[in-house]
Amino acid sequence: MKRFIKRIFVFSLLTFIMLIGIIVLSNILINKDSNFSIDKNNAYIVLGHSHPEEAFNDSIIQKTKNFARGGEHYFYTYLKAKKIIESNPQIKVIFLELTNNQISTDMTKWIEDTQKNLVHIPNFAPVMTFEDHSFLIKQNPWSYFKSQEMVIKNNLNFLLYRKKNILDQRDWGGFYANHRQKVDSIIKSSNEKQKVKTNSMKIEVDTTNLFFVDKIASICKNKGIKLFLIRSPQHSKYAYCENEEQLQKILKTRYSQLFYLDFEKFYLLNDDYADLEHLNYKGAKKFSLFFDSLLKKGLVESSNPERLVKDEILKHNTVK
Amino acid sequence: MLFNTLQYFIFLPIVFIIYWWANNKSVKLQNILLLIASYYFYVCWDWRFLFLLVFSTGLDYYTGLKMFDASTLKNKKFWFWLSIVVNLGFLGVFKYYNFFAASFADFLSYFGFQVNIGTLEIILPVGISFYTFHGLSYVIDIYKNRIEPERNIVDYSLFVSYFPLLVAGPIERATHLLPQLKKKRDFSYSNAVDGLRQILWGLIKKVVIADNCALYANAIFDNPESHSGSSLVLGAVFFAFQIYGDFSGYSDIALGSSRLLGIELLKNFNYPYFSRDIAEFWRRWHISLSTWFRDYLYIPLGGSQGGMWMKVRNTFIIFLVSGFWHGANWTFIVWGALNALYIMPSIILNTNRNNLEIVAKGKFLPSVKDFCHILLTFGLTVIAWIFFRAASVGQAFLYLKGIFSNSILSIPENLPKMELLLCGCFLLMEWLGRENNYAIANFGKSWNVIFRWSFYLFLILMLIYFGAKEQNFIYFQF
Repeated sequence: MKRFIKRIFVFSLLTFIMLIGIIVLSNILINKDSNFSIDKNNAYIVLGHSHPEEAFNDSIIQKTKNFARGGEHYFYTYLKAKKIIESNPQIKVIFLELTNNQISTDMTKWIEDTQKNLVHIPNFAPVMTFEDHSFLIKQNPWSYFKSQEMVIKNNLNFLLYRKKNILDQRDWGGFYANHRQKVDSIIKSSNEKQKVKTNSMKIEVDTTNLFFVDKIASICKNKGIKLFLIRSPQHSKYAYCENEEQLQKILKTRYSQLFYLDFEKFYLLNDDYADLEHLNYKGAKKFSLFFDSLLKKGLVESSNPERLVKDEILKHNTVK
Repeated sequence: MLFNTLQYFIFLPIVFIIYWWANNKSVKLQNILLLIASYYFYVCWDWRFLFLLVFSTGLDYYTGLKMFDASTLKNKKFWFWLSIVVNLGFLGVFKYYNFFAASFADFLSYFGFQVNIGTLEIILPVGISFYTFHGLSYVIDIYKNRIEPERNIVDYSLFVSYFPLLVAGPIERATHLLPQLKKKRDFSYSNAVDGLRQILWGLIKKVVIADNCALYANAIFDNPESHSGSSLVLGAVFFAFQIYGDFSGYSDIALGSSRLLGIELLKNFNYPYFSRDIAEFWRRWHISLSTWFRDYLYIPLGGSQGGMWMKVRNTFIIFLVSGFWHGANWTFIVWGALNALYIMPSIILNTNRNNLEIVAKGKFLPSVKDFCHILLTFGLTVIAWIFFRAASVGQAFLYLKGIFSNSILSIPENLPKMELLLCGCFLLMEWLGRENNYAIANFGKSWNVIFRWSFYLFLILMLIYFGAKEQNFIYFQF
């Protein structure tokens, strides 16, 4: 029995070392040798969660690449920003979504949830540092451990098939044309005088999530990249608007050095929304054309881009 | 708790360690521990059906004792039929009620009677077909005076509920398993290592072969009308590999797990796809079920004793019942009937016991004749699997019609090269190991430990690389 246990222990240890070796080595190889570059004409990138993912149609907007992805915690956005900035010196501007729901403690589940981590960790494993791995282990060791199976599979696939551009192979975000239109039915089924609430909504501020916004801001500052915080259009009945006070406080204190481009009031019909927080493809087209016109009017170079956005939205809304 | 999940590979070592270290002095304690572990294993599926399992166990235990102690034949018969009726009653209600209700309504509608027989929203208790058959064999054996009843309730309960075989067999016999549960088990290093090796091979069959073949087979079977004949052939062949990998993989993990605990279970598969005729195939496929039907249905019906007509009739009966055992759907019944038709020539010509040994024993390659027979048998089996897998008999015929069309000679639209390569390597391994208990039982045994362990590490890496598409075992639905 002792011999059996001893041998099993040695074999398990070897298996563990082999797997760790494959994970570490493949992550290093992919990080060093793979291509994270984007089209040289793209000097602006959009980052964030599903709101910008479904609002910024980058085929319409000049010099812009949308890297936003639904359900993405700022931790992953930070990893993405870090690597893309490092590999693409032409990037001059980052538009980073900072909206009501992203400051809520509901975002904690986006980094603790097993299913979400099983999707995100394999995507980003090669660009993580030791500290990043430690952070994830602290959040949810089980999901971290479980995701390593997919890390091995994805990395070996990537290396064995001699793929080069990781951005083509992994889901690092991009514009998603949503074809739903559920706003009318959502409003109809709720009390019309109130905001439509979700059960999980929390008002408390999530500092962990915001910590990674700080890190993105720090990278941008060091690299001389302009960082704009943005808020994509959202329906006036969207429940998270209830933490507006907290959001404004954060913007005035924590991010007072950054411009905040607020498109919340950008006028759109109910038909242009997929639901209360996401634009559908029609709304995205209208909004992207508007955003493109802002860029042409010198949004990035403007000394007061917030004013420009407000004025242009006012003009747009008045015409409508 | 699936055999191919991390939970099982945490559960099994815990049971193993407590079983051998804490309880190695007492068989009684070992059995209590195994029973608790088995019930926990079952509760992980659905705790509500534990009561059904316990009731079924209690009933057979009690009726077994009553039959043995009965003073009159009438009394004995009463307890016997009580057990049979209740056991089959449970099976009937949980597994077959909806099928019979719907079929009866369809039958009446042919005569113009529109009846609305309510169907029940019943969840099939996992493993019910398997543990019911355990109980039935035990009761029948006592009734036929083949065995004496087990008086220790823990040992009997463990016989019915032993976790490696609880949800998908092998279907054990009291004569085989109970004596092992009564005697002291000594730890054997070679047996334990062999058990682990068999578990590893079972996982390869399930995770690498079955789950990957399932992706292609499911895509084809879910939408057969939009595929060419050649793709349909490939889909059916992949299903043949899927079901073999899935079920024999499960059996290997069950046998290996049990061997770790010093208990030998009945062998369930013996390289069935290398069979040279259908009779041989059925001696090598789901052996514990085939022999169960032989011993408890075919022989009591008269077996081959009553002349050719009886032989033909009884063969048809056991294949139809075997099909029906798999599930309440006409597809399984047609599958059973088709296999009965396949086997009929060898029954009539009395050639059904021609191929008892494994093909090309002691040789590297089979003869051309054997090879052709293997191909023909495999082809027939694949056609039968189409009925087994199809959603309905109508869909199975459409599938066959699609195969025998002009497009059978075309190149499949999506040629799954990796899956084909995996199946090829798998077949080669099975062929090389066909004279052993399982394919890698002796593979690399004479190698230096570095090479041997490297081979096992390679298999573990295969599991990870080709895995990650965790799927349920097909036979859990039965």
